[in-house]
Order: sequence, then structure tokens, then C-alpha cells
Amino acid sequence: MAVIKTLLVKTLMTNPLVIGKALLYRVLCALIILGSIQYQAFAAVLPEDRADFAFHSYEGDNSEFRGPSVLIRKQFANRASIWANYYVDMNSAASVDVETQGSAYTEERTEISGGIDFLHDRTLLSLSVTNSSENDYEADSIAFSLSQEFFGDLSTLSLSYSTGEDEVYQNVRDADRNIVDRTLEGEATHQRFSLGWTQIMTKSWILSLNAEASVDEGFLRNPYRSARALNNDNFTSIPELYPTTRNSQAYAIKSMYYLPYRAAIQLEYRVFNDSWDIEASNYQIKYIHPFGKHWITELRVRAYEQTQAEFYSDFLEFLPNEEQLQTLIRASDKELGTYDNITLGFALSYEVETKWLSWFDKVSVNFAYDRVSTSYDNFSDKRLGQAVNENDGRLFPIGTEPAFSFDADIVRMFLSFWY
Amino acid sequence: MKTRRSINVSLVLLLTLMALLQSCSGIKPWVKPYERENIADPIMAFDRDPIDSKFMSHGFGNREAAIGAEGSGGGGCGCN
Repeated sequence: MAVIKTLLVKTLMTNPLVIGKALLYRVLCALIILGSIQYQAFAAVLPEDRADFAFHSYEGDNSEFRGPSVLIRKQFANRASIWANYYVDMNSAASVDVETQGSAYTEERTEISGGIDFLHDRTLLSLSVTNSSENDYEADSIAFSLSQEFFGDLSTLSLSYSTGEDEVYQNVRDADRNIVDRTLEGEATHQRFSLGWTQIMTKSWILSLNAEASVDEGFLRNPYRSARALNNDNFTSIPELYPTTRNSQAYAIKSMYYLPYRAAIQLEYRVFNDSWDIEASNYQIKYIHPFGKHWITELRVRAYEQTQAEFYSDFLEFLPNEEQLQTLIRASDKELGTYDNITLGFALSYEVETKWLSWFDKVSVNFAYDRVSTSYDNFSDKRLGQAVNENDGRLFPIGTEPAFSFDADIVRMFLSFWY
Repeated sequence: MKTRRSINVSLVLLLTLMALLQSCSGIKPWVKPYERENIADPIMAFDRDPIDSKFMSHGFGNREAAIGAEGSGGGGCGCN
């Protein structure tokens, strides 16, 4: 233990130039400590063998995302479990950003991920890799996590680290809007370090605490979006300019309680802040209620709110000069503004009799629907500033458009097989 | 710098936790294995359907500035 402590003190005292290395050292030290601890506990278990076939649909703000997803997991020799996920988003968008800053488009994103979990006594080690590919965005990431159970599996400590690299492109289109080439706009790296503790509090109550720090570096903006700058009585679109680093931390608490009858209630609360001065919080309440042997229903409410990034503005009140264009950090991306949303949703799950599907332990058919209503405080609906009335005058003078809001409908249907 | 400080704080908390665990190794489980019927019910799982929670988490992550501490992640943008 003395060697480990020395190693840890060194890790704490040193100030590595590259924060990624520091994170890695610290994760490794923590893993060494974890490996050295012996407690009386019951063996942990691997995730169940299961296959899911899903279809999802998102519609909101004149944008649609649709596609399938397949997730398959299989154990081997009760020591390891491997999983693979194939996911596709077919996307067509004419959102407020796209209409006022570009042209409607369609594209497809494919995500392939896979991983393996190793079980050793009370310790579960997990490794996963993900590749996401679009015609103008490539992303690869790798994640490592460890969880350890203590006190007769009443407590679970988990640690995880992930790192990813993105390549951000901008499509080049011809006069007919066909993509003819793409240009690399920049690269970004992402690192996440998280720590979690899950505790069985009583016969009917589980509590979970999670903390996560993330470091994003490089090209962090969307190359298609632009900022608006006031130019006399009109607006001029200028490129956005973001900081090249973003550090953030999030803390979450989750509680799951089994009610006196067969039903459960889940409460979740998270706070977030980052080095761009964004502060956010969200809470979620879920009620899960089975009916008979076959049905499980779920009702949920989720609310989210955030404050704007320090460099966000709906529009700049002046037209930057050449020097300011190179140095003035600016953004008009609505996701960096002040806004809130509320989600109302439900889910239904029906467990199918497996008499005629005897090679499966269990089969379920699932449907879920959520409606997300988002209201922006300081992002105006710029389409209204472009619209004209019957006298060819502007419906709203530019800069006085009302705040933007929209509703989105999210539907998922999936079949699940346990074997 | 804020994040480095926060990571250091996390590590100190982790070490404190470890020290507590070392001193508490004699604690007996207060919920016995035969008392875990409710806890073991599938409706008590934080993540009952991973394929669905992964999709929703990715969607919220792309449209909200806040990320992290929700137990899942993924690559890509899908946010133009």
C-alpha cells in the first residue's frame, strides 16, 4: 500500500502538461488500489444474454431522424460477455438553423459499437469501442470501466474512462445541392472520467451517485452554423468562433424505490457546469407499474434547464472588423443559449408467451413515446425576420423576432429476446 | 484548471472512500440475500432497456449542453 500511496501522491502533486495523461495515471492508480482490496461479498453477475431489434423516429422543428438499431449480447463460460450494436440515423432537416443559415439536407449516420465484459469474482471489467460515420463527421471512441461490489453486493463502486477523436468536415455541394466533395474543418478530442457509487439502502430502495468530468479540445463548433451581426438595418452572417477547450463536470443522484405494491418509482437529479459558464440541471421522475403477468407500463416526466455560454448572443450588435473576426469568441448556436425543455412520455412492454418460442427464455414487445417541448429565452425565430407580410414588409423587423420554441415527438418500437 | 481541481477532489474523495471501506470491512450486509425479492424485480433496474436508454441519452446529449454522469455515452454528432 505504501508504494501505491507514493504513486498517488506523485500523481496528485505533479502537474502534467497533458491532462489526458494525468487522467490515465489516476485511473490506473485507482484500479491498482481497487485490485488490492479484499472484501467479503457475493459474486457479481454478467449482463443477461439478450438481443434487441429497434426502430426509432424523431420529428421536431422540421427535422426527422429515423432508423433501426440492433443490440446483441452473449455470455461465454460465465466469465465474459460480448456485445455489439449497429445503429443507423436517416436524417432530413429543415430546422430553423438550417433554413436561416443554409439549405435543407438529407444524410445518414451509422454507428457501430462493441464491447466485452470480464467477470472475476466481484469485479467486472469492461472495454468498448465505438465508430460513428457521417458524410461530414467521423468519430471514434474507446471506453474502459471497472466496477467492484462490496458488503455482500450491497454496494458497487464503478470507475470509467473514455477517450474519443472526431474529424469534422464540411460538405461541398454543386449547384444542384449534390455533395461533390468535403473539406476537413478541424479535429476534436474528448475525454471523460467518471466515478459512481450504487448502494442498496433497504429491502426496497437503491441509491446511486455519479460524478463525471470531461475535457473537450480542438474544433468544437458546427461548421455550418453562423452568428448574426447587426449591419445598419440588416444582419450579416459571420462564422462562429468557439474556444478550443471545454472542461465540464456533472453530478447526478438517482433513487429507485419499490412501492408497497408491485410498482417502482425512480427519481433522478443532475447538475452540470462547464468552463464556458453554462450551468444546467435536470430532473426526472419515472413511475413503473406492471399489470398482470405480461404488461409493464411506465410514465415519466423530465425537465431540463440551462444558462447560456458566456460568448453566446442571439446577434452581435456591431459588425466585427477583420481583426475582431479572428479573435472575438462568438456563437449564435441555440444549444448554447438559455432555454428549458420538458419531456412527457410513456412506455408499454408486453411479455409474449414463449410456448411457441421455446428456444427463448423470454420475449417482449415494446413501445415508447416521448414529447419534448423546448422554449428558448434568447434565441429568436429568425424565419419570422425573413418572412414578409402582404405589403412586402417584414413580418417582424430583424432583431425583434419572438423567441423560438418547438415540440418534438420521439417514438421507439423494439423487440427483445432473452436466451 | 477547474476540471483538474475537480478531478483532484474526486480522487481525494475516492481515497477517503477506500479508507472508510478498509475500516468497515467487518460490516455485515444489512439486507440479507433472502430479503432481496423487491430489489431483484426487473422493474427495479435503473437501465431496464439499454437499447432505448442509449438512444434517448444520445438524443438529449446532442440537443442539450449538459453531458455526463448518466451512465452512457457514444460517438458522433447527428446534430446539424
